[in-house]
Amino acid sequence: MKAEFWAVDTFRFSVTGPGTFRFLNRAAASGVRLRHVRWQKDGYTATASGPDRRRLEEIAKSGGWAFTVTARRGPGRRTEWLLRTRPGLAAGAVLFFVLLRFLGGFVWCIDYGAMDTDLHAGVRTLLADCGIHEGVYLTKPLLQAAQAQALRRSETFGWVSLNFTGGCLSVESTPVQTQTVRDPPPRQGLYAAADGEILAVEIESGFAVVAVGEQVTAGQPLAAAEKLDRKGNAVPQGAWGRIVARVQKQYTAAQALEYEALVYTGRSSAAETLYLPGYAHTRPAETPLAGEEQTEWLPLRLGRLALPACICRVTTWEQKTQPVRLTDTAAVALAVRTCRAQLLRDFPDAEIEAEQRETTTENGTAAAAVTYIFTADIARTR
Amino acid sequence: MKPKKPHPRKLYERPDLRRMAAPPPRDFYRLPELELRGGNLLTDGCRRVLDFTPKRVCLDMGDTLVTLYGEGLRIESFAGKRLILAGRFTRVELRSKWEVPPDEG
Repeated sequence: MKAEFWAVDTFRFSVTGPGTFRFLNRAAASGVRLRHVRWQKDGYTATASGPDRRRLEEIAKSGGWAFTVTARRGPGRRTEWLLRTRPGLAAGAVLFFVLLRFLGGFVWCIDYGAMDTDLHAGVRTLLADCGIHEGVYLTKPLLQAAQAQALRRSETFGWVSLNFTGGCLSVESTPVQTQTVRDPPPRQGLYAAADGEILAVEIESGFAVVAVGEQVTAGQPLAAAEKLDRKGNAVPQGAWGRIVARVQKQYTAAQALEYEALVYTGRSSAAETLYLPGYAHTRPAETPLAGEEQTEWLPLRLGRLALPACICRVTTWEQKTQPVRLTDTAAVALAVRTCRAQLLRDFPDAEIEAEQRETTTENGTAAAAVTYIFTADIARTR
Repeated sequence: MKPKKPHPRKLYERPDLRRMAAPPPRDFYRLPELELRGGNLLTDGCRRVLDFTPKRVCLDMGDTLVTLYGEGLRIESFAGKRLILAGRFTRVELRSKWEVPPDEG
Protein backbone atom coordinates (compact mmCIF):
# COMPACT_ATOMS: atom_id res chain seq x y z
CA MET A 1 0.00 0.00 0.00
CA LYS A 2 1.19 3.44 -0.81
CA ALA A 3 0.54 5.74 2.09
CA GLU A 4 0.59 8.81 -0.14
CA PHE A 5 -2.56 7.72 -2.02
CA TRP A 6 -4.76 7.24 1.01
CA ALA A 7 -6.54 10.52 0.26
CA VAL A 8 -8.22 9.13 -2.85
CA ASP A 9 -8.94 5.67 -1.42
CA THR A 10 -11.94 4.02 0.08
CA PHE A 11 -11.09 1.27 2.51
CA ARG A 12 -12.81 -1.47 4.48
CA PHE A 13 -11.81 -2.02 8.03
CA SER A 14 -12.73 -4.14 11.00
CA VAL A 15 -12.82 -2.98 14.57
CA THR A 16 -12.98 -5.45 17.39
CA GLY A 17 -13.08 -5.26 21.16
CA PRO A 18 -15.60 -4.80 23.95
CA GLY A 19 -18.50 -2.37 23.28
CA THR A 20 -17.53 -1.65 19.70
CA PHE A 21 -20.84 0.16 18.98
CA ARG A 22 -19.32 3.05 20.93
CA PHE A 23 -16.67 3.24 18.25
CA LEU A 24 -19.43 3.71 15.67
CA ASN A 25 -21.04 6.49 17.74
CA ARG A 26 -17.78 8.33 18.23
CA ALA A 27 -16.84 8.04 14.56
CA ALA A 28 -20.23 9.33 13.40
CA ALA A 29 -20.15 12.17 15.93
CA SER A 30 -16.70 13.27 14.74
CA GLY A 31 -17.96 13.71 11.18
CA VAL A 32 -16.81 10.43 9.63
CA ARG A 33 -19.28 8.81 7.28
CA LEU A 34 -19.41 5.07 7.81
CA ARG A 35 -20.92 2.89 5.11
CA HIS A 36 -21.93 -0.74 4.88
CA VAL A 37 -21.53 -1.44 8.58
CA ARG A 38 -21.82 -5.23 9.21
CA TRP A 39 -21.84 -7.09 12.41
CA GLN A 40 -19.21 -9.73 12.97
CA LYS A 41 -18.14 -11.71 15.94
CA ASP A 42 -16.91 -9.33 18.70
CA GLY A 43 -16.93 -6.32 16.41
CA TYR A 44 -17.94 -4.69 13.14
CA THR A 45 -16.66 -4.15 9.63
CA ALA A 46 -17.35 -0.92 7.77
CA THR A 47 -16.25 1.18 4.80
CA ALA A 48 -14.89 4.73 5.03
CA SER A 49 -13.04 7.26 2.87
CA GLY A 50 -9.25 7.49 2.87
CA PRO A 51 -8.98 10.97 4.49
CA ASP A 52 -10.86 9.66 7.55
CA ARG A 53 -8.44 6.80 8.15
CA ARG A 54 -6.19 8.66 10.57
CA ARG A 55 -9.16 9.91 12.61
CA LEU A 56 -10.64 6.40 12.86
CA GLU A 57 -7.30 5.02 13.96
CA GLU A 58 -7.11 7.65 16.72
CA ILE A 59 -10.65 6.87 17.92
CA ALA A 60 -9.86 3.15 17.99
CA LYS A 61 -6.63 3.80 19.86
CA SER A 62 -8.29 6.03 22.46
CA GLY A 63 -11.07 3.47 23.05
CA GLY A 64 -8.76 0.48 23.19
CA TRP A 65 -10.28 -1.22 20.13
CA ALA A 66 -8.31 -3.13 17.55
CA PHE A 67 -8.47 -1.39 14.16
CA THR A 68 -7.49 -3.36 11.07
CA VAL A 69 -7.72 -2.32 7.43
CA THR A 70 -8.90 -5.36 5.49
CA ALA A 71 -9.24 -4.00 1.96
CA ARG A 72 -8.43 -0.89 0.06
CA ARG A 73 -9.66 0.41 -3.25
CA GLY A 74 -7.51 3.14 -4.74
CA PRO A 75 -7.70 5.15 -7.95
CA GLY A 76 -6.19 2.23 -9.89
CA ARG A 77 -2.70 1.01 -10.58
CA ARG A 78 -2.22 2.99 -13.76
CA THR A 79 -3.44 6.23 -12.18
CA GLU A 80 -1.18 5.65 -9.20
CA TRP A 81 1.75 5.09 -11.53
CA LEU A 82 0.94 8.28 -13.41
CA LEU A 83 0.60 10.28 -10.22
CA ARG A 84 3.95 8.98 -8.96
CA THR A 85 5.98 9.33 -12.15
CA ARG A 86 4.22 12.30 -13.79
CA PRO A 87 3.04 14.59 -10.98
CA GLY A 88 2.99 17.46 -13.46
CA LEU A 89 -0.13 16.01 -15.08
CA ALA A 90 -2.14 16.26 -11.88
CA ALA A 91 -0.63 19.65 -11.07
CA GLY A 92 -1.45 20.84 -14.59
CA ALA A 93 -5.05 19.66 -14.31
CA VAL A 94 -5.47 21.43 -10.97
CA LEU A 95 -3.84 24.56 -12.35
CA PHE A 96 -6.09 24.42 -15.41
CA PHE A 97 -9.26 24.44 -13.34
CA VAL A 98 -7.94 27.14 -11.03
CA LEU A 99 -7.03 29.34 -14.01
CA LEU A 100 -10.34 28.57 -15.69
CA ARG A 101 -12.13 29.73 -12.60
CA PHE A 102 -9.95 32.81 -12.12
CA LEU A 103 -9.67 33.94 -15.74
CA GLY A 104 -13.43 33.51 -16.24
CA GLY A 105 -13.82 36.70 -14.22
CA PHE A 106 -12.03 38.77 -16.87
CA VAL A 107 -13.73 40.16 -19.95
CA TRP A 108 -12.50 38.13 -22.94
CA CYS A 109 -14.92 39.33 -25.54
CA ILE A 110 -17.86 41.67 -25.94
CA ASP A 111 -20.81 40.24 -27.81
CA TYR A 112 -23.14 42.80 -29.33
CA GLY A 113 -25.68 40.21 -30.46
CA ALA A 114 -28.11 41.40 -33.11
CA MET A 115 -27.27 45.06 -32.63
CA ASP A 116 -26.64 47.18 -35.73
CA THR A 117 -22.96 47.54 -36.59
CA ASP A 118 -23.29 51.33 -36.62
CA LEU A 119 -24.15 51.31 -32.93
CA HIS A 120 -21.17 49.18 -31.85
CA ALA A 121 -18.80 52.13 -31.59
CA GLY A 122 -21.23 54.07 -29.39
CA VAL A 123 -21.74 51.15 -27.04
CA ARG A 124 -18.00 50.53 -26.92
CA THR A 125 -17.36 54.15 -25.95
CA LEU A 126 -20.08 53.98 -23.33
CA LEU A 127 -18.56 50.82 -21.83
CA ALA A 128 -15.06 52.29 -21.95
CA ASP A 129 -16.29 55.36 -20.08
CA CYS A 130 -17.56 52.99 -17.39
CA GLY A 131 -14.12 51.34 -17.30
CA ILE A 132 -15.17 48.15 -19.09
CA HIS A 133 -13.07 46.68 -21.89
CA GLU A 134 -11.31 43.41 -22.66
CA GLY A 135 -8.93 42.43 -19.86
CA VAL A 136 -10.88 44.06 -17.01
CA TYR A 137 -11.84 41.92 -14.02
CA LEU A 138 -15.58 42.44 -14.03
CA THR A 139 -17.25 42.52 -10.65
CA LYS A 140 -20.95 42.60 -10.03
CA PRO A 141 -21.03 46.18 -8.66
CA LEU A 142 -19.06 47.41 -11.69
CA LEU A 143 -21.46 45.64 -14.04
CA GLN A 144 -24.50 47.06 -12.27
CA ALA A 145 -23.01 50.56 -12.27
CA ALA A 146 -22.23 50.28 -15.98
CA GLN A 147 -25.74 49.11 -16.75
CA ALA A 148 -27.26 51.95 -14.77
CA GLN A 149 -25.04 54.47 -16.52
CA ALA A 150 -25.81 52.94 -19.92
CA LEU A 151 -29.53 53.26 -19.30
CA ARG A 152 -29.12 56.82 -18.06
CA ARG A 153 -26.89 58.08 -20.83
CA SER A 154 -28.07 56.22 -23.85
CA GLU A 155 -30.62 57.99 -25.99
CA THR A 156 -30.49 55.39 -28.73
CA PHE A 157 -31.71 52.44 -26.66
CA GLY A 158 -34.94 52.03 -24.83
CA TRP A 159 -33.48 49.27 -22.70
CA VAL A 160 -29.93 47.94 -22.29
CA SER A 161 -28.90 44.82 -20.45
CA LEU A 162 -25.33 43.68 -19.75
CA ASN A 163 -24.89 39.99 -19.03
CA PHE A 164 -21.51 38.56 -18.11
CA THR A 165 -20.96 34.82 -18.15
CA GLY A 166 -17.81 32.81 -18.73
CA GLY A 167 -15.73 35.80 -19.77
CA CYS A 168 -18.18 36.97 -22.42
CA LEU A 169 -20.01 40.25 -21.92
CA SER A 170 -23.26 40.21 -23.86
CA VAL A 171 -24.97 43.47 -24.64
CA GLU A 172 -28.67 43.19 -25.25
CA SER A 173 -30.74 46.20 -26.14
CA THR A 174 -33.98 47.33 -27.66
CA PRO A 175 -34.20 50.52 -29.73
CA VAL A 176 -35.91 53.48 -28.20
CA GLN A 177 -39.45 54.15 -29.32
CA THR A 178 -40.50 57.76 -29.14
CA GLN A 179 -44.07 58.83 -28.97
CA THR A 180 -44.77 62.49 -29.44
CA VAL A 181 -47.47 63.86 -27.24
CA ARG A 182 -48.63 67.19 -28.59
CA ASP A 183 -49.76 69.76 -26.10
CA PRO A 184 -53.13 71.39 -26.72
CA PRO A 185 -52.59 74.46 -28.95
CA PRO A 186 -52.23 77.76 -27.11
CA ARG A 187 -55.20 80.11 -27.30
CA GLN A 188 -53.86 82.29 -30.05
CA GLY A 189 -54.32 82.64 -33.77
CA LEU A 190 -52.13 81.93 -36.79
CA TYR A 191 -50.52 84.67 -38.87
CA ALA A 192 -48.81 84.75 -42.25
CA ALA A 193 -45.04 84.59 -42.19
CA ALA A 194 -44.69 85.98 -45.73
CA ASP A 195 -46.68 87.48 -48.57
CA GLY A 196 -48.24 84.92 -50.84
CA GLU A 197 -51.20 83.22 -52.43
CA ILE A 198 -53.09 80.66 -50.36
CA LEU A 199 -53.02 77.20 -51.96
CA ALA A 200 -54.42 75.02 -49.18
CA VAL A 201 -56.00 75.52 -45.77
CA GLU A 202 -55.39 72.54 -43.54
CA ILE A 203 -56.56 73.83 -40.18
CA GLU A 204 -56.79 71.18 -37.45
CA SER A 205 -58.01 73.51 -34.75
CA GLY A 206 -59.24 77.09 -34.59
CA PHE A 207 -61.22 79.06 -37.17
CA ALA A 208 -59.78 79.83 -40.62
CA VAL A 209 -60.24 83.42 -41.80
CA VAL A 210 -58.72 83.02 -45.27
CA ALA A 211 -59.72 80.89 -48.22
CA VAL A 212 -57.85 79.21 -51.03
CA GLY A 213 -56.87 81.65 -53.75
CA GLU A 214 -56.65 84.69 -51.49
CA GLN A 215 -53.58 86.92 -51.44
CA VAL A 216 -52.17 87.50 -47.99
CA THR A 217 -49.46 89.77 -46.66
CA ALA A 218 -46.95 89.06 -43.95
CA GLY A 219 -48.50 89.39 -40.49
CA GLN A 220 -52.07 89.01 -41.73
CA PRO A 221 -54.27 86.74 -39.56
CA LEU A 222 -54.87 83.35 -41.18
CA ALA A 223 -56.80 81.57 -38.42
CA ALA A 224 -58.52 82.92 -35.32
CA ALA A 225 -58.53 81.34 -31.88
CA GLU A 226 -61.96 82.61 -31.00
CA LYS A 227 -65.38 82.82 -32.60
CA LEU A 228 -68.70 84.21 -31.44
CA ASP A 229 -71.66 81.87 -31.30
CA ARG A 230 -75.26 82.89 -32.11
CA LYS A 231 -75.76 84.43 -28.70
CA GLY A 232 -72.62 86.47 -29.05
CA ASN A 233 -70.61 84.40 -26.56
CA ALA A 234 -66.97 83.79 -27.39
CA VAL A 235 -66.02 80.18 -28.26
CA PRO A 236 -62.28 79.87 -27.65
CA GLN A 237 -60.18 77.30 -29.52
CA GLY A 238 -56.43 77.57 -30.08
CA ALA A 239 -55.53 77.68 -33.78
CA TRP A 240 -53.32 74.92 -35.15
CA GLY A 241 -52.60 73.49 -38.57
CA ARG A 242 -51.00 74.21 -41.93
CA ILE A 243 -51.78 76.93 -44.42
CA VAL A 244 -49.85 76.38 -47.60
CA ALA A 245 -49.12 79.33 -49.82
CA ARG A 246 -47.08 80.16 -52.90
CA VAL A 247 -44.48 82.71 -51.91
CA GLN A 248 -41.93 84.76 -53.76
CA LYS A 249 -39.05 85.88 -51.64
CA GLN A 250 -35.50 87.05 -52.13
CA TYR A 251 -32.50 86.09 -50.05
CA THR A 252 -29.02 87.59 -50.26
CA ALA A 253 -25.66 86.32 -49.08
CA ALA A 254 -22.00 87.22 -49.51
CA GLN A 255 -18.95 84.99 -49.52
CA ALA A 256 -15.37 86.29 -49.20
CA LEU A 257 -12.91 84.90 -51.74
CA GLU A 258 -10.20 84.70 -49.10
CA TYR A 259 -10.80 83.78 -45.49
CA GLU A 260 -9.17 81.84 -42.67
CA ALA A 261 -10.53 78.49 -41.57
CA LEU A 262 -9.59 75.48 -39.48
CA VAL A 263 -8.45 72.82 -41.94
CA TYR A 264 -6.90 69.38 -41.68
CA THR A 265 -3.21 69.29 -42.50
CA GLY A 266 -3.14 65.56 -43.27
CA ARG A 267 -0.75 64.80 -40.43
CA SER A 268 -1.78 62.46 -37.67
CA SER A 269 -0.30 60.85 -34.60
CA ALA A 270 -1.47 57.79 -32.67
CA ALA A 271 -1.12 56.97 -28.97
CA GLU A 272 -1.77 53.34 -28.07
CA THR A 273 -2.61 51.75 -24.75
CA LEU A 274 -2.36 47.99 -24.30
CA TYR A 275 -4.74 46.59 -21.70
CA LEU A 276 -3.90 43.19 -20.25
CA PRO A 277 -5.42 41.58 -17.13
CA GLY A 278 -4.18 43.75 -14.28
CA TYR A 279 -1.74 45.67 -16.46
CA ALA A 280 -1.87 48.61 -18.85
CA HIS A 281 0.94 50.01 -20.93
CA THR A 282 0.69 53.29 -22.82
CA ARG A 283 2.86 54.18 -25.77
CA PRO A 284 2.57 57.95 -26.25
CA ALA A 285 2.39 59.54 -29.68
CA GLU A 286 5.77 60.22 -31.28
CA THR A 287 4.86 63.81 -32.16
CA PRO A 288 2.00 65.21 -30.10
CA LEU A 289 -0.42 67.08 -32.35
CA ALA A 290 -3.42 69.27 -31.64
CA GLY A 291 -6.62 68.53 -33.46
CA GLU A 292 -9.53 66.18 -33.63
CA GLU A 293 -9.23 62.89 -31.77
CA GLN A 294 -10.55 59.55 -32.93
CA THR A 295 -10.63 56.58 -30.53
CA GLU A 296 -10.50 52.97 -31.71
CA TRP A 297 -10.76 49.84 -29.57
CA LEU A 298 -9.00 46.82 -31.05
CA PRO A 299 -9.63 43.54 -29.23
CA LEU A 300 -6.71 41.09 -29.48
CA ARG A 301 -7.36 37.73 -31.06
CA LEU A 302 -5.33 34.63 -31.70
CA GLY A 303 -6.96 33.31 -34.85
CA ARG A 304 -10.56 32.87 -33.81
CA LEU A 305 -9.71 32.77 -30.12
CA ALA A 306 -10.45 35.98 -28.24
CA LEU A 307 -7.89 37.06 -25.66
CA PRO A 308 -8.55 39.06 -22.51
CA ALA A 309 -6.64 42.02 -23.88
CA CYS A 310 -7.22 44.97 -26.17
CA ILE A 311 -5.51 48.01 -27.61
CA CYS A 312 -7.00 51.47 -27.36
CA ARG A 313 -5.68 53.66 -30.18
CA VAL A 314 -6.27 57.40 -30.02
CA THR A 315 -5.49 59.01 -33.37
CA THR A 316 -5.14 62.79 -33.45
CA TRP A 317 -5.73 64.47 -36.79
CA GLU A 318 -3.95 67.82 -36.88
CA GLN A 319 -6.00 70.91 -37.66
CA LYS A 320 -4.59 74.38 -38.28
CA THR A 321 -6.03 77.75 -39.09
CA GLN A 322 -4.97 78.47 -42.65
CA PRO A 323 -5.96 81.01 -45.28
CA VAL A 324 -8.34 79.57 -47.85
CA ARG A 325 -8.68 81.06 -51.31
CA LEU A 326 -11.73 80.25 -53.32
CA THR A 327 -12.27 80.55 -57.03
CA ASP A 328 -15.01 82.90 -58.19
CA THR A 329 -17.27 79.99 -59.14
CA ALA A 330 -16.83 78.25 -55.79
CA ALA A 331 -17.45 81.47 -53.87
CA VAL A 332 -20.63 82.15 -55.83
CA ALA A 333 -21.82 78.58 -55.27
CA LEU A 334 -21.23 78.95 -51.55
CA ALA A 335 -23.15 82.24 -51.47
CA VAL A 336 -26.09 80.61 -53.30
CA ARG A 337 -25.90 77.71 -50.89
CA THR A 338 -26.11 80.16 -47.97
CA CYS A 339 -29.21 81.71 -49.54
CA ARG A 340 -30.89 78.35 -49.80
CA ALA A 341 -29.91 77.56 -46.21
CA GLN A 342 -31.60 80.78 -45.12
CA LEU A 343 -34.76 79.83 -47.01
CA LEU A 344 -34.87 76.36 -45.46
CA ARG A 345 -34.25 77.84 -42.03
CA ASP A 346 -37.30 80.11 -42.44
CA PHE A 347 -39.49 77.53 -44.19
CA PRO A 348 -38.24 74.00 -43.48
CA ASP A 349 -40.91 72.37 -45.68
CA ALA A 350 -40.37 74.68 -48.63
CA GLU A 351 -40.67 73.16 -52.11
CA ILE A 352 -38.88 75.39 -54.59
CA GLU A 353 -40.74 75.88 -57.85
CA ALA A 354 -38.44 78.42 -59.46
CA GLU A 355 -35.44 80.52 -58.61
CA GLN A 356 -33.68 83.48 -60.16
CA ARG A 357 -30.05 84.17 -59.32
CA GLU A 358 -28.15 87.41 -59.54
CA THR A 359 -24.49 87.01 -58.69
CA THR A 360 -21.61 89.46 -58.68
CA THR A 361 -17.96 89.24 -57.71
CA GLU A 362 -16.46 92.52 -56.55
CA ASN A 363 -13.73 93.61 -54.14
CA GLY A 364 -12.83 90.07 -53.16
CA THR A 365 -16.41 89.15 -52.28
CA ALA A 366 -18.95 87.10 -54.17
CA ALA A 367 -22.53 88.24 -53.60
CA ALA A 368 -25.66 86.33 -54.51
CA ALA A 369 -29.27 87.49 -54.51
CA VAL A 370 -31.64 84.61 -55.19
CA THR A 371 -35.35 85.08 -55.66
CA TYR A 372 -37.25 81.89 -54.92
CA ILE A 373 -40.78 81.00 -55.82
CA PHE A 374 -41.77 78.23 -53.47
CA THR A 375 -44.71 76.65 -51.70
CA ALA A 376 -44.57 76.23 -47.95
CA ASP A 377 -46.58 76.39 -44.78
CA ILE A 378 -46.64 80.07 -43.84
CA ALA A 379 -48.80 79.83 -40.71
CA ARG A 380 -47.02 81.00 -37.58
CA THR A 381 -48.07 81.89 -34.12
CA ARG A 382 -46.69 85.41 -33.63
CA MET B 1 -100.20 14.47 -1.52
CA LYS B 2 -97.65 12.85 0.65
CA PRO B 3 -95.83 15.37 2.78
CA LYS B 4 -92.22 15.81 1.84
CA LYS B 5 -89.79 14.18 4.18
CA PRO B 6 -87.44 16.71 5.65
CA HIS B 7 -83.93 16.31 4.40
CA PRO B 8 -81.78 14.87 7.15
CA ARG B 9 -79.44 17.47 8.40
CA LYS B 10 -75.83 16.62 7.78
CA LEU B 11 -73.92 16.11 10.92
CA TYR B 12 -70.53 17.54 10.74
CA GLU B 13 -68.25 19.18 13.16
CA ARG B 14 -67.07 22.67 12.60
CA PRO B 15 -63.32 22.66 12.21
CA ASP B 16 -61.48 23.89 15.23
CA LEU B 17 -59.77 26.89 13.66
CA ARG B 18 -58.02 27.80 16.87
CA ARG B 19 -56.34 24.45 17.04
CA MET B 20 -55.41 24.57 13.36
CA ALA B 21 -53.80 27.98 13.74
CA ALA B 22 -52.04 27.05 16.96
CA PRO B 23 -48.26 26.57 16.84
CA PRO B 24 -46.95 23.01 16.80
CA PRO B 25 -45.89 21.41 20.08
CA ARG B 26 -42.66 22.51 21.60
CA ASP B 27 -39.51 21.12 19.95
CA PHE B 28 -41.73 19.64 17.20
CA TYR B 29 -39.12 20.24 14.56
CA ARG B 30 -36.37 18.81 16.70
CA LEU B 31 -38.09 15.51 17.35
CA PRO B 32 -36.46 12.42 15.84
CA GLU B 33 -37.73 11.12 12.52
CA LEU B 34 -38.15 7.56 11.37
CA GLU B 35 -39.05 6.82 7.78
CA LEU B 36 -39.50 3.28 6.54
CA ARG B 37 -39.13 2.85 2.79
CA GLY B 38 -39.27 -0.72 1.68
CA GLY B 39 -36.35 -2.49 3.25
CA ASN B 40 -34.65 0.74 4.34
CA LEU B 41 -35.22 2.73 7.49
CA LEU B 42 -34.07 6.35 7.39
CA THR B 43 -33.61 8.13 10.67
CA ASP B 44 -32.72 11.68 11.51
CA GLY B 45 -31.89 12.63 15.06
CA CYS B 46 -30.22 9.39 16.08
CA ARG B 47 -27.90 10.26 18.91
CA ARG B 48 -26.28 6.91 19.44
CA VAL B 49 -26.38 3.26 18.51
CA LEU B 50 -26.85 1.39 21.77
CA ASP B 51 -26.81 -2.09 20.33
CA PHE B 52 -26.34 -3.56 16.91
CA THR B 53 -26.67 -7.19 15.91
CA PRO B 54 -28.18 -8.74 12.75
CA LYS B 55 -31.42 -9.35 14.69
CA ARG B 56 -31.70 -6.29 16.88
CA VAL B 57 -30.74 -2.65 16.63
CA CYS B 58 -31.32 -0.23 19.48
CA LEU B 59 -31.12 3.49 18.82
CA ASP B 60 -31.05 6.44 21.18
CA MET B 61 -33.36 9.06 19.64
CA GLY B 62 -33.36 11.65 22.39
CA ASP B 63 -36.20 10.94 24.82
CA THR B 64 -37.13 7.77 23.00
CA LEU B 65 -35.34 4.48 22.66
CA VAL B 66 -36.18 2.77 19.38
CA THR B 67 -35.52 -0.93 19.13
CA LEU B 68 -35.86 -2.59 15.76
CA TYR B 69 -36.14 -6.33 15.36
CA GLY B 70 -35.71 -8.28 12.16
CA GLU B 71 -33.39 -10.43 10.08
CA GLY B 72 -30.09 -9.49 8.47
CA LEU B 73 -30.08 -5.94 9.82
CA ARG B 74 -27.21 -3.78 8.76
CA ILE B 75 -26.19 -0.11 8.80
CA GLU B 76 -25.84 1.24 5.27
CA SER B 77 -24.74 4.74 6.26
CA PHE B 78 -24.04 6.50 9.54
CA ALA B 79 -22.85 10.09 9.67
CA GLY B 80 -23.66 12.70 12.27
CA LYS B 81 -27.25 12.08 13.35
CA ARG B 82 -28.40 10.49 10.12
CA LEU B 83 -28.50 6.76 9.98
CA ILE B 84 -29.81 4.44 7.29
CA LEU B 85 -30.64 0.88 8.26
CA ALA B 86 -31.39 -1.95 5.87
CA GLY B 87 -32.71 -5.46 6.27
CA ARG B 88 -36.03 -7.19 6.90
CA PHE B 89 -37.80 -5.46 9.77
CA THR B 90 -40.36 -7.40 11.75
CA ARG B 91 -41.05 -5.27 14.80
CA VAL B 92 -40.43 -1.76 16.11
CA GLU B 93 -40.48 -1.00 19.80
CA LEU B 94 -40.63 2.53 21.17
CA ARG B 95 -39.88 3.20 24.79
CA SER B 96 -39.29 6.32 26.79
CA LYS B 97 -35.73 6.58 27.94
CA TRP B 98 -36.83 7.29 31.51
CA GLU B 99 -39.44 4.53 31.66
CA VAL B 100 -38.51 1.58 33.88
CA PRO B 101 -39.02 -1.76 32.05
CA PRO B 102 -41.90 -3.80 33.56
CA ASP B 103 -39.71 -6.86 34.24
CA GLU B 104 -37.28 -4.64 36.20
CA GLY B 105 -40.14 -2.83 38.05
